[in-house]
Amino acid sequence: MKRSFRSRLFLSVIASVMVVLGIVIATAWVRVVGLETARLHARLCSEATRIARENISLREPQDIEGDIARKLRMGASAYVLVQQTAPHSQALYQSARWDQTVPQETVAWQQMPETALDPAAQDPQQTESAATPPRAAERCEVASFMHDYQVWQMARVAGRAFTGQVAANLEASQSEIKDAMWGVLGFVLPVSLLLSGIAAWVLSASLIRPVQRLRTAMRSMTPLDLRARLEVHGEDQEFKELITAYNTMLERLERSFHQASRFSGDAAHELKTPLTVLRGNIERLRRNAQDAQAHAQLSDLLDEVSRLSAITRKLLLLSQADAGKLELQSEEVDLTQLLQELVEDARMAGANKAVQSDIAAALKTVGDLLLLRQMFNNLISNALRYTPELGRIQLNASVVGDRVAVKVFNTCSPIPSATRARFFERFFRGEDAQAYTTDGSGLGLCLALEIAIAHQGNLVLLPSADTEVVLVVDLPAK
Amino acid sequence: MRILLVEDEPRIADLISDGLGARGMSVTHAINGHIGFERASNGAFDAIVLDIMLPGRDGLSVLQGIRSQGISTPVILLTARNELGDRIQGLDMGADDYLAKPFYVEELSARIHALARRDRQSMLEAGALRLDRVNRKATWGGQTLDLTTREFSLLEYLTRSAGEIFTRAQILEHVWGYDFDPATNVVDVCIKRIREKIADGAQGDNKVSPIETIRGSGYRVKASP
Repeated sequence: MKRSFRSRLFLSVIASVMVVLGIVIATAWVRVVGLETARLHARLCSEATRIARENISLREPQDIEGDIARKLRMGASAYVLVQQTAPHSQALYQSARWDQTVPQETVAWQQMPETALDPAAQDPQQTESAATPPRAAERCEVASFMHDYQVWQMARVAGRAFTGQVAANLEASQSEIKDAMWGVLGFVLPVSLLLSGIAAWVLSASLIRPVQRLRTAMRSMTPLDLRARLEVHGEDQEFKELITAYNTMLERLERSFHQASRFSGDAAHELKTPLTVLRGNIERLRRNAQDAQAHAQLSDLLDEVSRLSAITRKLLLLSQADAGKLELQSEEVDLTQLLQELVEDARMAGANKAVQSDIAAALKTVGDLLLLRQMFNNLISNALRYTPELGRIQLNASVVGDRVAVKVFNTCSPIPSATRARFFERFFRGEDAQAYTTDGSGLGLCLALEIAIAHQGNLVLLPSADTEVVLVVDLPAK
Repeated sequence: MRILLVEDEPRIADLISDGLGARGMSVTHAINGHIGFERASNGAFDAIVLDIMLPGRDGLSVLQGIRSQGISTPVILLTARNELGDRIQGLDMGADDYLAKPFYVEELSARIHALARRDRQSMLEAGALRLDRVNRKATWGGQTLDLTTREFSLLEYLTRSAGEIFTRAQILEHVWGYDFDPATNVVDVCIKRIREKIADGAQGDNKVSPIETIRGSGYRVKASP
C-alpha cells in the first residue's frame, strides 16, 4: 500500500486518542475500585459489628447471607460468607462454604482506620447498620484473600460476646460499577473515536488542500507560461510561507528563463547587421581581387560567414521556440513534393550512400513551409552526415489516421545509448561525425524537435540496433 | 538604373550603395520611412529596396503608402528571419521580392536586375546557352537540355550574372533556399550533372562546357564574348 500522509495522520490521531482514553479509563478504574473497596470494607465492618453483638444463630429466618447480599447490592447470597464465633470456642454459626473458601491462617489482617467507619459516609440505605456503629472497643480489622482466582474482602470484629466475620466476593460487589463503566465506555469509545476520526480527516484535508493546489499549479506550469502565480487565500501561516516561497522561486525562474531566451534572441538579431556588413565587404573585396589565391581565400571567408549566418538563424529560431513565439506562417504544404525534393538533394549529396525513399502520394499538412523544410532538411542532413560510405538512408512517409508519419532511417557506426540520449541536446555532436562539415552546428535535431512541436507534432528517436538511427516525425495531416 | 534605398543602418546602407554603385546603379539613400516615402512619391526609380525594420514609419507602412498612390515601382523588402510574418504581409501588400538579412549584395543586385527588367528579360543567353525563363527550358547550341528544377535554377542563377564567380554557399543559398544545410557537396554534384547533360548532345566547339570551375572559389558561367 502506498504511504499516504492522510492515512498516516488519520491512523496516528486514532492511535493517540485510544492511548489517552486507555490511560484515563485505567486511572479512573483504579481510583473507583479503591474507593469502592474502602466502602465495602466499611460495610463489611458494620455487618461484622452487628454479628459480633448478637447471636445470629437464634435469629429467624436464617438467611443472613442473603440479607447482607441485598444490603451490599450483590447479585447472590453465594457471594457473601458469614462466621460467628464465641471467644475460645468453635463457630456458633458459619456459612456453608466458609471453610472451603476462607484460608484462615494465611490472611493478613489490617486495622481499619476509624475515619473509614464514619456513618455519615455511608449509604442512606444503610441506616439500619448505621444505627450500630462499632464501639471503641470493637476494633474492625480487614483483610483480602484469593479464592478460585477471585478476590474476596473480609472484615472481622471481636466484640465482647462474639467475634463476627463477614467476607464478600469483591468482583461480585463490583459488578454494578463494571456494568456502569462498560455502559459509559460503550458510548464514549465509539463517539470519541468517531469525533477524532472526523477531526483527523478534516485536519488532513485542510493540510492537503494547499499542497494539492501547489501540485496542480506545478503540473500546469510550462516553460512557455511561467507567469501564473498562486494566490494566498485563507491558508495557515505555514502554507502562506510555502506558497510565497513557491511564487518567489517561480519569479526567479521566469526572470532567468526569459533573460536567457531573450539574450540569445537579441544576440542573434544583433548579429545580423554586422554579418550583412561583413559579407558585403568580403564580397566587394573578392570582386576586386586580382590574384586567384586572394580570391579563393575570400571565398572561404564568405562560406565561413554563411556558416555563421546559419548558426545565428538557428539560434534565433530556438530562442523563439523557447519563448513560445515560434511564429508559423501557416499554409497548405505539399509534403510529398517537399520530401521528394529533399530526397533528390540527398541522392546528389550522398553519391556513395544508398538513399531510398517510399513517399506516399498527396501528403499534405498545414504549416510553415520554410520551417518544415528546415526540419526535414536537418533530419536528412544529419542522416547523410552520420551514414558511412556505402551506408543506407531510407525515408518513408505515409498517413496514419489523421497524422502524417515521416520516418528517417540511416545506418551508422555503433552509437552507444548514452550518446543517443543526448541527441536532442543543443550543440551536441556525435563523436565520429565524419568530418567537420559546413553546418554541423549541433543545433539541427533540437531545432527540428522544436519545429515539430510548434506544428502540433513530435519528433522521436525510436529504439533500434546500435548501428541504426530511426527518427520519426509526426505531423497533423490535412 | 535608379534605385531608392530606405535603410536606417548606416553601415548596411553604405555597403548596398557601394555595391550597387559598383554595378552601375545610381542609389538614393533615405535614412527613415518618412523621407523614404517622400522620395518614392516624388522621384522616378527603377526599383526600391525597403528595410522593414525602420524607426518611425516602418517599411510596411511605407510600402502601403507607395502602392496606395498608384506607384508600381518594384519593391524588394529586406527582412530579418524573425520578421517572416512581415515578409508574407509585405508580399500581400504588393512587394515584389524579399531578401533576408544577412544577404549577399550580389544577390540583391541580381534580384533588382531581375525585377527591373523582368518583362523584357524572359530569355537569358551566354554563348551557345539559352534559357527560356518563362517556360523553364534550356537549350545548348539548339539542343534541348532535359534539366530538373534545381538544375535549371542553378544554371539560371549563374547565367543571370554571367562572368561572376559564385561560391558553393552562395549557390546553395540561392538555389536550395537559405535553409539548406550547406554541409553537403550537393552543388558540385548538381554542376557535374548539368555538365554531363550539356556534353551529351553537344558537338564540335560546344563540347566545352559553359560552366567553369574556379579552383578554391566556386563556379561561373562564361560571359558571351
